[in-house]
Amino acid sequence: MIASWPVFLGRFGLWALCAGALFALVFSVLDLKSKSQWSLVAKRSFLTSCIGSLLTVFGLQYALFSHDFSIRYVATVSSKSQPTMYLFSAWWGSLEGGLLLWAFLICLFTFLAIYKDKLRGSILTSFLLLPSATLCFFSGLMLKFANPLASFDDRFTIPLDGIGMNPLLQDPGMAIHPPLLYLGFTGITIPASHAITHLLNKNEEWIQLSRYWTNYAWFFLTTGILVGSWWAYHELGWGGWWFWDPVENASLMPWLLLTAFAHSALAFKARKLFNRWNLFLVLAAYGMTLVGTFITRSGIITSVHAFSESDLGYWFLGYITVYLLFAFGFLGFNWDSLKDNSDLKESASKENAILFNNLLFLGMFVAVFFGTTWPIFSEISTGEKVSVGAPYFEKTIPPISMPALILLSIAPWLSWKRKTGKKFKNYLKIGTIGGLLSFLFFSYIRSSIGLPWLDSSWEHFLTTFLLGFTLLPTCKEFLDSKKGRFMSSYHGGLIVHLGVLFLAIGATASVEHKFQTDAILENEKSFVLDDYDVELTQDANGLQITNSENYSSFGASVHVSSDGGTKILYPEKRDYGPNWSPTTEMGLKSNWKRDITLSMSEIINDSKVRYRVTIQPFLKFIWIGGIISILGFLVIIGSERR
Amino acid sequence: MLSFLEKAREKPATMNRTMISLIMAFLAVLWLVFSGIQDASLFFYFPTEVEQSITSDEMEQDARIRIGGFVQPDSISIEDEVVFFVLTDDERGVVRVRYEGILPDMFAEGQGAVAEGIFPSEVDNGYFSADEWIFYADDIFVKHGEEYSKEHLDKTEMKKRFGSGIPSGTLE
Repeated sequence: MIASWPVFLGRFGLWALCAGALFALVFSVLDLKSKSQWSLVAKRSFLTSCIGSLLTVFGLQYALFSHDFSIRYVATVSSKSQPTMYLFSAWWGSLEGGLLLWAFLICLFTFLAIYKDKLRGSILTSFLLLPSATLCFFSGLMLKFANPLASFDDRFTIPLDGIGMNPLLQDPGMAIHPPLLYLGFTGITIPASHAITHLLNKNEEWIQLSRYWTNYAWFFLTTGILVGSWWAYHELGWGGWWFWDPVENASLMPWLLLTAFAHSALAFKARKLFNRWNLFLVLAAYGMTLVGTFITRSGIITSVHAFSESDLGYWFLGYITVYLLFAFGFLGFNWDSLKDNSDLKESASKENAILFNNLLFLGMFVAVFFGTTWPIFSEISTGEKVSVGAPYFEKTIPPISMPALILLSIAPWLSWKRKTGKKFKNYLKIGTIGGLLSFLFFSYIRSSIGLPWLDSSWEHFLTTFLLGFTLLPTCKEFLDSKKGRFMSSYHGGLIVHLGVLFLAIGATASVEHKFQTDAILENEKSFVLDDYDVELTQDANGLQITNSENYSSFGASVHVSSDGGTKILYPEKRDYGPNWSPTTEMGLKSNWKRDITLSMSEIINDSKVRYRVTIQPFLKFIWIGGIISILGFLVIIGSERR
Repeated sequence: MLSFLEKAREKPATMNRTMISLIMAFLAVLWLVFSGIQDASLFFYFPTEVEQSITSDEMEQDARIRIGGFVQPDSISIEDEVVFFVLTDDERGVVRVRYEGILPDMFAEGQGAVAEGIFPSEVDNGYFSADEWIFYADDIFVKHGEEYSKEHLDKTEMKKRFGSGIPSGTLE
């Protein structure tokens, strides 16, 4: 069977992508080695690679939209009945397309960086090393193991319709979550490449340029993680929003290093401190994007054997090793020549606060890294497979993250180099008043929704105190700041910090006060949770069966009375036919005080259904905090553009 | 390369204090991590390994473990809110699992799943005894990732649909 011309073009594009990247890499190395002018050739090879990636994407999209099921990937991730929007998002529905998206975004970011930062000469060629090596690797993987445009070996096996996407993933949140994460991951390539230009060419501007791109990578990564969490909470339906799953941890690890870098880069900007440390962090963050992808894609977490069954894992491991050798080799060789101002005389200064911030973030990173990879080390060293779950993370993360939150509430008021002044003491005073007020306020609110007055975890107490402790001084800072200087990156940072504290209140409350019970509801009989002041009544109509475009729904109307209001929820089970397991759509009654969710767990008969009821106080603070943080990022990005 | 160590020696006392507190804090983190790992990690087995350790008398009863594999097609049965199913793997090892509670949405036949629980030493419900080695799970996890669409079907079913052309990247 002859492929259609766009598919043909796409396959050609994939080769162009690989060849262009290879040439860009070779000519960059030549340019750096021989001091002759190969930079223009390297740049044009790289542009060829960009065009190649565009062609491949076009070919894949054409195949998806024209339902060309002779392409294996298309038959796996899409079907004829799939809505248009999810035909497009089927692009990143599985490994092959995911690699293509990764390559495409690296092209995009690198292209933008070259033109925005006006890179030329040897700076350009040293900058191109990392993106072109990464592109070589990813396009090589696609050509060898995971070609998104490969057709079936045998044309008689071509199916009439594809398997399609899991209905659970046919959701706007899940459609944009992966590309946001990929944008964050690939965005880290740019600051890491700028770091390499500094190591190879003494590019003193690297840190400003890196900071600029780090803001974007950070923004996308954070948004991606939050959207993923939001989706898990709303679509998986059982009241959880973070599961400490290796896939989640894989996105958290580079995030922690990137956040540490965003702070320590401030210390460099203000005082030329931590030069080597900054380079280390940004190079490690890029490394972690590879490691994260490796551990989630190779199956090594489940078992070392699963990993050794596919060559993909070895290739990843090989590339990671090569990257680490080169990146940290460059860093090691340049160690002595990298100038570092290491004057940290004043102990209560902002630079010391940043030092401890970095230590804490590194600590969290180490905790997450070991928790995630321990199964691998254990199996290799002792032959015993172990599994590390949420209890480990719930034990190790709070003792590190809580000091970080305290630091976050104090550090913005410290000064560079100097001792703290009157302003600092004043802010502490205002803050203490604010903290006590917010502590009492949240205690009162907890008591009003059926929880005991002064009985909670120390983490939750601390976060409720810290919110007021930070909020009042922040308000004063905003009121005092002169007009026009209102939206500086400093102010953006303060907004992000507030968002983090909101999120922390929601997170600690949900860990400590999450309440879950099963309730069997019958028509028009009410079920009362006395302690929580919640009344549930199933509608007189009982179980309803309705048919929708691609599923049939079993649902029931339930009246939920709480907090002085009644809302009718419609929890359902959706059946998407024999190919898929049914999904649970929860009913949610939410206000800022608490979330009450209702999920059908078992249909006993037409009028009797068992539900899982979950009550979580302050859960909305997680999303509110996330949105505040994202707005803060936007302020930072906006102010640094100028 | 080692000049930074010499420099550190010449640094004023405050710098050393900072360094010492940093090192102490980092050691505290390491202690936290390793003590946590010791307490919170569970042994993990594939069904074949479970069978092997039962025959060689090495499987401990009442110890909390995790078992991961595929849910064997046609093995799920539900009796009075109790779910029975069979976990299996590529080498056709088999473990019977009993679970009381709500199954996760993506739990399905042919799907990868992990069960956490114990092999109880005392079972007395008139149906079976402890030497039948039924795994009492109290927590079920399904694989979390972007590859649900593939993992949903097991390899044999994939082969039926696609012939030899199993899409690459299929785990296990």
